[in-house]
Amino acid sequence: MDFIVEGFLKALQLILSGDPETYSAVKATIHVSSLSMLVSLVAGIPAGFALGYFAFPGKRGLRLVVDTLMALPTVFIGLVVYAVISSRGPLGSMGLLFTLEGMAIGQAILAFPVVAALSASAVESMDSRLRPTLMSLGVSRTRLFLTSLREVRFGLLVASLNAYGRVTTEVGISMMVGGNIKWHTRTITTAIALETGKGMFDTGIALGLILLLIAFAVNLSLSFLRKFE
Amino acid sequence: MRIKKTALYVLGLVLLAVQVLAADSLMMATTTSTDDTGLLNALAPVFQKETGIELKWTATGTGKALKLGENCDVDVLLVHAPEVEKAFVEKGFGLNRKEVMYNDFVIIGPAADAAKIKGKSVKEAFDLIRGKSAAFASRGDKSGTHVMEQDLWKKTGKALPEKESWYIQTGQGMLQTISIAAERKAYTLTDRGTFIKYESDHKGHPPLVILVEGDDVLKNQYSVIEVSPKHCPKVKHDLAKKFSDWMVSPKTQKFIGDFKLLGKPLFTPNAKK
Amino acid sequence: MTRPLYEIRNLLHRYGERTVLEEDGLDLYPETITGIAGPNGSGKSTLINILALIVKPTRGTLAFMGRNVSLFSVHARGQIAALTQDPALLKRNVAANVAYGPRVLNDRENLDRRVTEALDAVGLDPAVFAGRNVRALSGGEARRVALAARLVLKPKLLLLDEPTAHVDEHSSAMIRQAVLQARQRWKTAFLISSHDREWLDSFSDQTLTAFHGRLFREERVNILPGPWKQDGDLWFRTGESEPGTGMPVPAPPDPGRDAAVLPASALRVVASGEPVPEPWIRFPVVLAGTGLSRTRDCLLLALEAGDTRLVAMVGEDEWKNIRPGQTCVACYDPSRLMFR
Repeated sequence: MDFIVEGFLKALQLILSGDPETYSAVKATIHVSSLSMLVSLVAGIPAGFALGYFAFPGKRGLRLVVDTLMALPTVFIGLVVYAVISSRGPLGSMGLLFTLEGMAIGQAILAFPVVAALSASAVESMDSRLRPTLMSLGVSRTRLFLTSLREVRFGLLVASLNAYGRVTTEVGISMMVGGNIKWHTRTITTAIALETGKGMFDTGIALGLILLLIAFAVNLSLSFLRKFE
Repeated sequence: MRIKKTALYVLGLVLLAVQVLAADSLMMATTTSTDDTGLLNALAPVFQKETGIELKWTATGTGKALKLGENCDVDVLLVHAPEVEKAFVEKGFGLNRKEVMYNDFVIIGPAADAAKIKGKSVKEAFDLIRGKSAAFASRGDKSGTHVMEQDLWKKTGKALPEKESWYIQTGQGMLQTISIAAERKAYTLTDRGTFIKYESDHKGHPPLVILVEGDDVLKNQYSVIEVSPKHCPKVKHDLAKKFSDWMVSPKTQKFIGDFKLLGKPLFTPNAKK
Repeated sequence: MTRPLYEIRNLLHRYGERTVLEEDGLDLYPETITGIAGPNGSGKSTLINILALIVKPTRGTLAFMGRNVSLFSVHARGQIAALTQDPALLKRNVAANVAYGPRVLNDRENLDRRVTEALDAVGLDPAVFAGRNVRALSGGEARRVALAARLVLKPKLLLLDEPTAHVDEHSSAMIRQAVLQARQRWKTAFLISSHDREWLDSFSDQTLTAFHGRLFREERVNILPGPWKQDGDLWFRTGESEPGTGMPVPAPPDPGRDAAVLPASALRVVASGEPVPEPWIRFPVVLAGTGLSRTRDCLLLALEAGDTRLVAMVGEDEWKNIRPGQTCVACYDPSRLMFR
């Protein structure tokens, strides 16, 4: 139990001393999660919006599939991505294994269904009067889409933060695809796995707290978006 | 517009230079127990200084490390499971298997030693543990240590204790397994290197102590294997060879022998002269 | 002869099997205010949604300023605007809501002043309301903000669907005033639907009557819903408290469901003994009220036959037949009666 208290102290020490391994892990975490979030948001929000907005044959089935994909285990995704980008896999020549970019691909696969499904829900809960109202002002199709998007921005923010939480805390993909290589692909989560594996629980806790700090900073900086104009 | 173009040009040059200046890097697969000893953290900077090559490694179980070699995802292996290593080379996946160092395995357990195995031979100790149904923690993950452990059980002439209630299969790395053994007051088989590290982590007073050591069958041989360029054309064989040669060089061998934790040497270098 | 602003032909709209709107031809002219009076479900909202290019009709052509238009037509953008029954306001403040339309049309010249102008037109003090959060508005205020958001576009045609429903008296008066002002200052034409006929008549150039998806041009129309039961040669409404009273009609095609529709101008009042042409149907009525037609040259008579209230539009020569307090005789030509 006292490793939790020691963990707090260790966290302070790691941050203040500028411990290079810790900062390297932090940088790696931020690099990978930023990349994977960018891809999954750019792909997931329009996909989710379309899924929630339009009526088309097979909509319910597709929604079911996307919702189910949200529960993909990270080790499974890691294994599949490894198989694809391994030297002997179909995309082996791209040299993505053991790189942050490869990890980002796996994380994007993890995040995409989350973003899409939750965005679809956000859109479905959109005011149904919005479409006729905007059309009554003579907007174009594009403008209708963009303004509707803006009106559900809070729901989309929730979807994004949810996905962000998933990618920053996952270990399975980072481990399998990244290899936990010191200075290169060691993220905070894989570092935690390593340290706890070594029995260094206080360091594990310390790194966990640092991760929490980063997540808090992200949420804080986005909290202004929650304010109703 | 001209400024923009110039900036892009300069950026392109910088990126190119970075690529060129970036050290050659070598990708190695090794085991968690090797990584956990800290030896690689000490060796890598020296290797880079002397050869300019950056050593990058991923630590997994022996099985996965060999699989990575087979899949051409790494350039060189450093593992300690001679039987499977030889099969690896025989299948044409690896070249130039060179023994570089060894440490030994020890059986550790609670100081109270309920099964009274202290000082016995491995066979006797295992029989006593089985007889008393004393808790025993196994890696259970097809790692080099696990393979060694299973061999030792086979050498007692009895069936593997796979499904016995006292036999705990953790499926995890060495330090993790030791932690679990400490928690459950169980015996376990570990390499001495990991144990010394564990001991030092507990500031010299670990809950589990060495009870059986020195038996011949407990020797743990480490080898470097280059991934075969015939099987894997894209592999960085020249760098792998440089590493392999460097590991058996007298200077490095001395470094390995001098590497200590808690004033105790971890490895005994034994490259063929 | 000015060109019509909006030409509607062959309009038909169905929801599944049900026909909710049917109109062969309708023209709306520039700078006119047209009212549509009728109960809920008569098709007023459907008509407005179709003309506003929000809903695509099952069948029909719409030509606005000479060009065919459909949903999202660029040609109609900023020219046709509509205030639907339950407009949503965007999650922004009042001024941002009003400015939204012109902004997305990239029409930003003098926008601040125009927003102020529009708020003034609907009777909302810009200094007080411009920065206000839309959540802090009353129903009437919100409706007026939505109207201002359309007025600011200075569209050629503005469609209003029940603009005064569930709205306080003051807002109602403000809306009427805004409409008249807009027509005068910006030459905006209006099509306004309401169940409040009197309100529409007080400022429209023409008021149509909507019933069961059809539009009637006549100034006043008597609509008598069924069901009907037979009594001798004629049929009477079953709802009458005294059987055999009310306005008799010839056999309805569907006595259970049809409504009888008779223009007010078709209903005549005659002297007691006076003969009427053969097929005409006559029945006793009592005078209940009087009024003037829009053109102020005809008398509108409110008549009661049993429990049924009717309106007759009569000329000068019929006034002499009217006896306040006494039973008179009303009659009509059954060929002018329609069943719906």
